[in-house]
This record gives sequence, C-alpha cells and structure tokens, in this order.
Amino acid sequence: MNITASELKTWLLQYGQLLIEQTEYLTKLDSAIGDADHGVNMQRGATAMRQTLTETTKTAPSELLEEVAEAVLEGIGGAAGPLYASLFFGMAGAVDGETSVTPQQLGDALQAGVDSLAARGRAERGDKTMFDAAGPAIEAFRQTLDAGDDLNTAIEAAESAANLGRDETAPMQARKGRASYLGPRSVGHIDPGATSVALLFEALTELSGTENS
Amino acid sequence: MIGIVIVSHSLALAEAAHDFASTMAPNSSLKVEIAAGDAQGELGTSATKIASAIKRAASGDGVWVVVDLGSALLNSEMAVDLAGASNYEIVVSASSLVEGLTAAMATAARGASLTEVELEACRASNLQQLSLPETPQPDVWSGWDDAAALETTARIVDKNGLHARPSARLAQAVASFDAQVRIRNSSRSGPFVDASSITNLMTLGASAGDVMTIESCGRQAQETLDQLRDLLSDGTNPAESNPEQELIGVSSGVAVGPVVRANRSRTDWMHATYEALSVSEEQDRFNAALEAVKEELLHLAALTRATTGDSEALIIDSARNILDDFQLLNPVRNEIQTGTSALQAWVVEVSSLLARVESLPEPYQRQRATDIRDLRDRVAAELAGVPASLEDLKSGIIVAAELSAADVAQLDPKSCLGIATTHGSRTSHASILARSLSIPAIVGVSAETIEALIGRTVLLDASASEIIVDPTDEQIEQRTLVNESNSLTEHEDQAASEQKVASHPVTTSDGLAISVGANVALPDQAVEARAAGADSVGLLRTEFMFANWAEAPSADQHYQAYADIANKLDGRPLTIRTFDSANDKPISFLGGNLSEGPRGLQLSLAYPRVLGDQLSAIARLSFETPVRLLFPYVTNAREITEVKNLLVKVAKTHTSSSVLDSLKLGAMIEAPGAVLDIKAIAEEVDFLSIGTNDLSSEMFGLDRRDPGAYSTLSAFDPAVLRLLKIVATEREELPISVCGELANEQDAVPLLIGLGIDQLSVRPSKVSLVKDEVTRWAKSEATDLATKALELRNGEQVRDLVQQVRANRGLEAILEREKIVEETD
Repeated sequence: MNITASELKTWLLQYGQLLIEQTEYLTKLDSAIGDADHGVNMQRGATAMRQTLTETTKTAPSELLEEVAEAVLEGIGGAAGPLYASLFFGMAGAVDGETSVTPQQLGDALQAGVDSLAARGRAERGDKTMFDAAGPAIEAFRQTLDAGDDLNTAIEAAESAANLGRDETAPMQARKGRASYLGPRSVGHIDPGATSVALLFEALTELSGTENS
Repeated sequence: MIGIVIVSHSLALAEAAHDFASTMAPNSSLKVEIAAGDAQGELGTSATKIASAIKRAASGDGVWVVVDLGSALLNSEMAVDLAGASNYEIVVSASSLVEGLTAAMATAARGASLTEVELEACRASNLQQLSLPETPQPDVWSGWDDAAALETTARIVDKNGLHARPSARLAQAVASFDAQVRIRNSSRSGPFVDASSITNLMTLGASAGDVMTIESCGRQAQETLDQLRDLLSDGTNPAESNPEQELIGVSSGVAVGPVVRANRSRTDWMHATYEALSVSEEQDRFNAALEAVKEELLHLAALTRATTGDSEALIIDSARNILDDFQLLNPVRNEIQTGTSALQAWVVEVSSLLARVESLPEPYQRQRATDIRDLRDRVAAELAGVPASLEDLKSGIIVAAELSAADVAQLDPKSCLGIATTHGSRTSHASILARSLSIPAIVGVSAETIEALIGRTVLLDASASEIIVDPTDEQIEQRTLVNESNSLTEHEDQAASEQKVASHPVTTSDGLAISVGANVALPDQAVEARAAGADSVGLLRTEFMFANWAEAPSADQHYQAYADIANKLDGRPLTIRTFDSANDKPISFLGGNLSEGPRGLQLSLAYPRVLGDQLSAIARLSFETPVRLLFPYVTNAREITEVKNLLVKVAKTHTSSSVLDSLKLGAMIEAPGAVLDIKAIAEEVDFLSIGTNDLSSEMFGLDRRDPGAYSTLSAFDPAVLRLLKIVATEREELPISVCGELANEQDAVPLLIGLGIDQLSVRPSKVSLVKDEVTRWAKSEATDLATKALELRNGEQVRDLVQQVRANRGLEAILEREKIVEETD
C-alpha cells in the first residue's frame, strides 16, 4: 500500500526515459523562445539521474531523492538544474526519516518540492514557467486524494492538470528566465520548462497499481 | 574585511569585471574569488563551483556574492544552501555585476560591513539606471491644481549635493504630509519632478549652491514647504566655510627645505603662443603629440607595474587607451580639417568630455576627470611646446595645486624632499606612489597657504600632518627624533604582524619545501616584503631605482642602494638582477628606447663600464650579506662566460677566495630559444629563474604593453608549461624559481610545484596567499595535475582544470562534513 524508495526509483527512471525520448521536442520548443538548450540539458540530466538511480544503495526515500537532486543539479546545469534540484531537495526534506510513504505523504512531499521550486525561481502562476504546470498538477493530486479517491485517480488528475497547465503557457508572456527577454514575442509558444515538468507527472502513472499490488 | 565572489557565465567576463573594479580598490588585501562556467567548463554557472569559491573567499566578516544573470542567481542561492550553516554570513547581491562590484570593492576595501557593502552596491546600480536620459517619468500631475499651488525656493547646503541619503529624507518628509509636492532645479533650468520619489529627486542633479524651486498643493501645502525648505538648507554635511582645510599626511616622514613651486602650471599651454600651420601640418602635429604622450605614459605604466602592481599600472594603461579612442579623436581630426588649429580642436573636444564626466553624480565616477584633465594638459603642452613634466625642479619641498600620479612618478626622489598639494587623498594614485618612494607628503593645503609658502623654508611633518614655517633648529631636531622613534615603533609593529602571517618557510602537505620570495623594485617594497613574510627577495629589478637618471650610477651609488635594501631584509637572501632594459622600460644610459636589437644581459655586455660598476657593487655586498646575482634575458651560455670574466675582473677581492665562491650566479630564462640551450646554460650557473611574462609573450608574439592582447592566461598555456617542464627536467640539480606574474596566480601554484619548481617569487602583497596555497597541495597531487595540464589545448582549459579539481575537493569537503553530521546524529 505504501510507496518505498524502489517505487520512487521506478517513477524517476520512467521520467528519465521520457526526457530522453522528448529531447528533440524540448529543443524545438526552447529554440522558439529560449537558447535551444533545454532538451540537451534535460537529456544530460536524465542520463546523470538514471546512472545515480541504477548505482544507488539508498533505501530511504529522502536519501534517494537527495542523491537525485545532486545528480540533476550539475547534470542539467543552466537555470533548470538548480530548479529541479530544489524540487527534489524539497521533496527529500518532507519525507525525512520515513522508510515508505502513503499517497497523502507523497502529495505532501510533491507539494513541498513544488513550493521549493517556486521559491527558488521566484515564480508566480502566469509567469510562463515550470510552475504553471507543476502548480496545478500538485493541487489536482492532493484534491483528488482529499476527496477520498485512490492513488490511481489522483495520478490521472495530476497528469491531465499538468498537461493542461503546460498548454496554457502558450498564450502567456514570459516574465521569468531567458524567454522574458523576448517580451511579447514569447507569446504563442508552449514553455519548454512547463513541458519537461509535465513529463514528471506523466511518469507518475508508473506508480498506478502500486496500491493494488 | 569581507570576502567577495564573482559569479558569471563567462570567465573572461568575470575577470574583466574584476580587473575593472580593482581600479577602485588598488592594493587592497580584499579576497576576491571567481566562479565562472558550468560543471563542463562551458558558458553557464555551477552551484558547486560557487560553493567552493564562497569557501575560499570566506572571512568572519561575511561573503558578498555578485552575479551576472539568470542561472547565476539560482545557482548562487543553491550554493548558499549547499554551504549550509556557517559562522559567516553570505549575501547574494541584488546589484548588477559591473556597477555593483565596482562600488562593493571600493567600499569593502575600506573595511565596511557586509550590509554597508550591499547597500552601496545597490545604490550604484540604481544610479546607473537613473542617469539614462530615457528614464520614463510617471505622470503624477493629473489633479495638480496650478492656481492653488504654493511656491518656495531653497538653496542646497550639503556639500555633496542632494545625494541618496538626503533625497531619502526629503521623500520621507513629503510622504508624511497630506500634500502633493513637485520640485525643480532652477539653477539648471531642469523640469519639475515628483518630490515623493527618491529616484526622481536624484535626477535633479542638485549640487551644493543650486537653487531648488518647490511647489506644493493640498491640505498641508504650507507645512510641507516649510519643512522641505528647512531640510534642504540644513545639510548634515554643510559646505566648508573655513578656507583653512584640514591637512592630511598621506605618507610618513619629516622633510625640511625651501618650498619650490612645481614648474608646470596646468594651464601653461594656454598662455603659450601657438601658430597654426596648414591643415595637413596640423594633423601631423596632432598625431606626433599623441604619440609622444603615449610613449611617456608607456614608460610610466612600466614603472608603476614594477613598483605598485598590475592594477595600478592598468589605470595608466587605460588612460593611454583613451588616446586611441576614435570616438574622441575623430571629432578632433574633423575639426582640424575645417581649419581649426590642432591645439584648439583638441582642447575644446576634451574639455566638453571633461564637463560630462565632471557632472556625473558620484565622486568616484568624477575621479576619472583627473585622468582626462591630465591627458588634455599633456597633449596640449606637447602641442604648444611647453614643458609638460616636472623635471627641472630645484631641490626642495614641492608644492602644487594638484599632482597627478604621472607627475609623482617623474619626480627625482633625490631632489624632491617633500610634497604639499591642495587636492588629493590618502588613496589617490599620486599618494600611493609618494608612499612607495618614501617621500613625505601632505594634501589639503589651501591655495592661499601654498602661495604664502613659496620661497620660505618649512618643516613638513607628514606623520603629524603639520607644516611649520621657518622652523627653529630645536623644532627640527625634535620632529626628526620623534619621527625616527615612530618609524622604529612601526618596524616593531610590522615585526609583530609578521609573526601572524606565515613568516616561516612553508612546505607542501607532504613535506616538500617551497621557498616563497618577493619581487622588489624600490627600497620601500623590501620592508613590505619582509613584513609580508617573504623568505627572500627572489628578484630585485634594479632598473627602476635608476630609471630617471641621465648618467649611469657609480659603483658606490649601486652599493648604497643595494645595501640599503639588504639592511631592510634582516639577513634574508637578496637576489639582485642586473639592468634589464626593454621596450617597455627603456634606460637612457643603456641606449634609451630600443625597438630592435639586443636586450637583457646581451645589451648590458655592450656597455661594460656600466655593467662593471654594477657587478663590482654587488660583489662587494656579497662579502657582507647573503646576495645572489641574476642575469636577465640570457639567450646562450656564451653570455654567461663573458659576464663571469667581467665579474672576476671588477670584483675587488679582499680575501684569497674568488668572488665566484661567495656569490651564487643565476640565469633568467625568458627567451624561448634559451630553453633549447638550457643544458649548457645550467652548467655555467648556480640557479635558474624563469620569467614567464616575457617567455609567454614572446612565444605567442604578444605585446606586453597592450592590455587587450596580453593576459596572464597566456602564461597558463600548455605550450608554456611544456617549456617549464623542459627546464625543470634538464636543470642538472640546480634550484629553479619562477618570478613572473604567473607565480602570483593562486591557480598556477600547484601547476608550478607539479612541474618541479622549488621557488616562487611574487609581489609582496601575494606572499601570504601563495604560501597558503602551497600548503594545500601534496607534491604527488600537484604532479598529477601538471601532467594532465600538459595534455590540454589552451590556457583557459588549464585554469579550468585547476579550478575543477579544487571545486571537486570543495564538494568532497561538503559531503564529508554532511557525513560527519549524519554519523554524529
């Protein structure tokens, strides 16, 4: 019923897989409004993260998440590196001392991670950033659980909220990061950061069925 | 003192910003570290690199971090998190890189707190934005009722004008009343601005004496106006009403002598008769004048580089670069083309530039005006054919309204007993030079006093900041005595602080002894070298002590100069290098400026009488105190044989032993060709010394006088390191030292140790840093690093490698510490 380090590993390995598959797409998005490096950076980060995940001996969720944070920090590099590292460090802090977590605790941890991401980037909703996908996703996840639904339903809700949030960045004008230098010209393009973070929630579907097993 | 970290996507950008800002904090012991590039060494930033830079810069007073853009901020904040709890505070600055860093270094150098530094940095960044003409003004005048408005005027009393702090007080006052207020600078016919905005107030450009017109409407209009008028007329720093300014001694010592006015009045050229010739002749005259002044500054920069250091020399280099600026020169040339005389065209154009610079809001920005005025006068004097320098002064105490650094550098210390000027400060470049030349100097002497002093005999006591006219013998005796005992106490103080720095020899962490000596050009620096904990003087550049001499010094004069320095070293070895005349530091009695032909030892050998006097003095000293003799720019073994014969001939041996038994001889390896002949050279000498500056600039065909082309990075190049490696391998057991700029670089220290260098000779100010770095590496680790560096492609990669290795060690230390914390938990 509970989620252990091993399930988190599965989730993040899948996330890495998705990032590597989507490298070209992310590059294309970033070349429209950024410096065309998000795809390559995320791919490099994914490789570093997957290597950490295959070699790690950690069994506590918080320790595993800390290792992932360290791997993506320099692995991704650029501005996204510290942002993703903040997300995972934030999650790690929330599950400190636990050997496994309930879906509610996972929700709390994701919330802590997203909070820490937003704080690091000083991002608000509507700034056309990663937070525009991550914010709605974690809200949907927790609201679904609070309503009494199971983990599978919560994951589905988070995934579709993240995708919706991602798509809604298109009409926004960027107010943070490199894209903000473009001003009104950033309008009309999906934000690459929001896209890569939506994949993180898409990868959560790997955990579907955990509860039933 | 706080530490500073520069975080940038680009190393070149960070270094340039640092160099630029360093001119605001010359000679300070500020610790500034750079974290640039991402983990892969490409454009970007890295949290672990930043964390390790913070650690290197750390002091109990805190660390101030300035960033360029985007991820630099995110990674810096991440680095602060990674660093975890520490016993010092870290501030990631909100200021912008160039403006913030410049203000921060100037503020931090005087020992300001972390908070104060951040405040100044932010203020400087904001001011920069404000001075843009396009700054949009918000439209606040809707609802303004002209008919109901009350009006008053007030004159600014604060001598600094309406700067940031009074502006803030004014804006606060406005906000506390129920009234709308607008204000304009009537003295400058400026527009009305909203008085409740600090930023608007600062755009008034209100200087002391300017009259402000203030209008107000609203319920408390009258009260507001009364209060504002009081605030403006009641500055906390009222302008000096007392013409007697405060005298400030900017160096130490006592001088007695007649007062002599510095010959060159800054406006001499204005009174000179100047007859304009044809347009093309005027263009030629202008070009010739520019060239002559550039030549003069070039010489001065070389002197400054040797006496005070690179960042000081850079001020003069950058002044010289202004004379290459087409933005300035083209309008002048166009004007000459229309028939205006070269003198008039030049003076009008530069004066208008000067006016713009002088109206800049901050004092340190305005300081640039001194340089520009100096350039204007130098070129104008050259054009008008009037003397531009202070060469023909009678012996005495020199007085002037203002002396530029160039003026002081050109003074003959033999005839200039003391200096008194109206303008200047302790930190002005001229004062720094006066200190290193040991000339007692006082600034703040009013123009009236200077006029009254001319021709009188005075006692100038720089230590006590006092000038006594017609002193009695008693006064002279007493002041001189006090001064001597003071300087003794100073020496004792120095001796005490010497204990604190690494005054003992250092070894690598695995016990290999590395001697760290100091490079010295003037007697004062010997004291500095000893105080800094140098194990020896690894290089005495003799050419600078005699740079302005028309005739070569006699053997006795040589001896006195070197004995004086040796006395200051308390028995530490003194390495004396014979004259090295080169393009950037010509010696008149060795043939002046040589663009072609031999230099170094080869040149000196062509003047056997000049060289013989120098050798005999050094030989004489070597019987009394530990001295080593070094020959510059040796190109082959034959030169050494030749100079040895001369040495034996001129040395007056008092005992039966030969001078070659008591005097160790060394060759400087600076010519790339000499490396190929190193075995033969090594057989002739007792030690080797490598000059990496000339070695690298000659290898790559770079002109060291061109700050744009030459940088220390060239000396990091693997090709240079390979040459060092050859010398170290073929040296036949001889001790080997490096005395170029490279040795001053923290990042170069492990590389040099790894290549087998035994001794480093650096600027006095760098001794403790370099000693500290030596102790941080094991010889084996340094050797591995050097081996890897030899395989790289360019200097940048080499430096990145060293920084990467250091950053990894920093990360390991962080993880290690976390592990310990975990285990204790």
